[in-house]
Amino acid sequence: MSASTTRFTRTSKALFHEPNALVGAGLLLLIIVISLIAPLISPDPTVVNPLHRLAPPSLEHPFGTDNLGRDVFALTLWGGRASLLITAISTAIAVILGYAIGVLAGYFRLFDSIVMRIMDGLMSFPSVVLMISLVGVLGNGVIPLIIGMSITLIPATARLVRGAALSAKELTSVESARAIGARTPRILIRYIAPEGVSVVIVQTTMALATGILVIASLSFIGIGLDPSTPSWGGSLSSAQQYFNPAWWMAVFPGLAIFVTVLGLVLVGDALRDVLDPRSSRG
Amino acid sequence: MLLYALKRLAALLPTILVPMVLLFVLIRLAPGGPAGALLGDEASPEQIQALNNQLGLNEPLWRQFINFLGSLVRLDFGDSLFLKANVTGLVLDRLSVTATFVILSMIFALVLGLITATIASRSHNGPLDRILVGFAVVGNAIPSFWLAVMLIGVFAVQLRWFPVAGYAPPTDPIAWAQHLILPVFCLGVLQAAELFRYSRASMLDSMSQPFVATARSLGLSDNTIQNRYVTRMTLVPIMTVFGLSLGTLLGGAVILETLFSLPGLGQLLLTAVQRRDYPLIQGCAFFIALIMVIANLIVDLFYAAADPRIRYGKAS
Repeated sequence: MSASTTRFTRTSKALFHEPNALVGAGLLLLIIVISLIAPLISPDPTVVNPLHRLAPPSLEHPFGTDNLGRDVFALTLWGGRASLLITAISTAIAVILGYAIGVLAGYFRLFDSIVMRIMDGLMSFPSVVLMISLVGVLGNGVIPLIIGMSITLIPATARLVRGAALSAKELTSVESARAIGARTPRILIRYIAPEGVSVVIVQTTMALATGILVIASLSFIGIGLDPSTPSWGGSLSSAQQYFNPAWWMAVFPGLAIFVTVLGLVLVGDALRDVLDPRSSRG
Repeated sequence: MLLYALKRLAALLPTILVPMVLLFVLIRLAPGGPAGALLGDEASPEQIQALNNQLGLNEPLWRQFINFLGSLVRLDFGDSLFLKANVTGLVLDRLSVTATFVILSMIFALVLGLITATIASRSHNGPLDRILVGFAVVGNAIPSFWLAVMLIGVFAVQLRWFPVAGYAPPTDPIAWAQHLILPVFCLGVLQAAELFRYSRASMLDSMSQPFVATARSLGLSDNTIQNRYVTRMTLVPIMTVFGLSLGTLLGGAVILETLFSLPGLGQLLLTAVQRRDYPLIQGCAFFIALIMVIANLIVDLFYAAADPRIRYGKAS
């Protein structure tokens, strides 16, 4: 326990000295807090006001209004709630399952040769296309999105953890554990699985970023989320026809997606540099 | 080389099989059966029966699976439920637009990514390098469709330099180019950001190799070292990233095609999904997977040509 605690403090200290990590974490915190307290600080984004259609930014409507007279500020604050929640749940499912699959595949040859083939097959298929086809078959809604997103995100985690598990298997600690009679489940949990932790932490940020982008792409083309649910992708898709003069309809929801993904990418890169200096991209 | 190609092809088969089997299973798991999901609550039992017959869902499951595998081999997915035409024909009609779009974006991304990576690695940690790295980080986080909406707004709607959307056949080269410039730029520039990061890292890596110091001590100029040794060394890792980024590129193309109204595979897939046209969804997914397999095979063969060790050694 104490070993992992010191590792944790060491990692967080190192991260504290990375300006990029701080900026990224700040951006993420901003988005999360805004999404959580949106109902408290902003008007109802679904209120339609035909008299105030396409109004430019003003004190009353800081981000202007859209083609139905809805407040773009409110739409932007609310727009992340559904997609962030869906992405967080799917990433959690994908990381847990991917972790388990990766550890088992790294340790058991037979399991590896069958399951990793399936994972490779899924992984080389474009994730957006996979999501569109899965949701197309399962139908729209939150549950199909979570199922599809989890399936899409599992392979990358499984593959990275498998790599870590493969090299962990060769460690002398594993050999000595087996020599003193440790059983396979104990070896897997105590010796192999911990080697995958840092890989999984970095991969989680990448999976979250992919998830946010894919869900936004899908709601942009009108698939998945109910069109009446506020979403950044959905707001952007109605913004297309009104760019002139209502540029604010396109700018702010897009900026929200950008800030979220940028935060995740910055934190992910910094984590990679700190946790896994070998694979750092310089 | 032929043996190697066949081996790689066998290893790439799951790319087609796994997503197709997944769709096969999920279609049959739809609540109320696929026919119920398609026709809605008001459908009469006769209508459901008829649709089940058309989709081959009345046969036993093992039979359906054999038929499904057969359809993959014969490239025949039956008729689209709504467009009332053969799925393979519909897909092949759209293929050339998507292929043109993706290939042009790929070339643009490759050229831009490699040039900027060369510039950045030559001035490592200099101001130019830092600016380019900053751009790449930002480019990684920009959703392609947001960039596209903004660029359409500025360059097509305001300035009227380009058409807002649509496609012209290459028989009219000027109109064709005008319709493709914006979509290719949007897709390619973001991909270039990704390629830039990997190429720069890999160029910096090869520049710290001893053979570069040797070349320099022999009095070779920076340009000669760069062009003759460093660029060649970095080609293989760059091809790896390139192979991996094909999926992102194709996925981005699907979204941008619907936005720019390019009559390609992506648009067809979207129509199929909106109408839950199962045969058409399967057909589109199949051909997208097939494109991935062919592209990856080309990348693999390029590797083998660039590095003979891969051909004879443990090809993984």
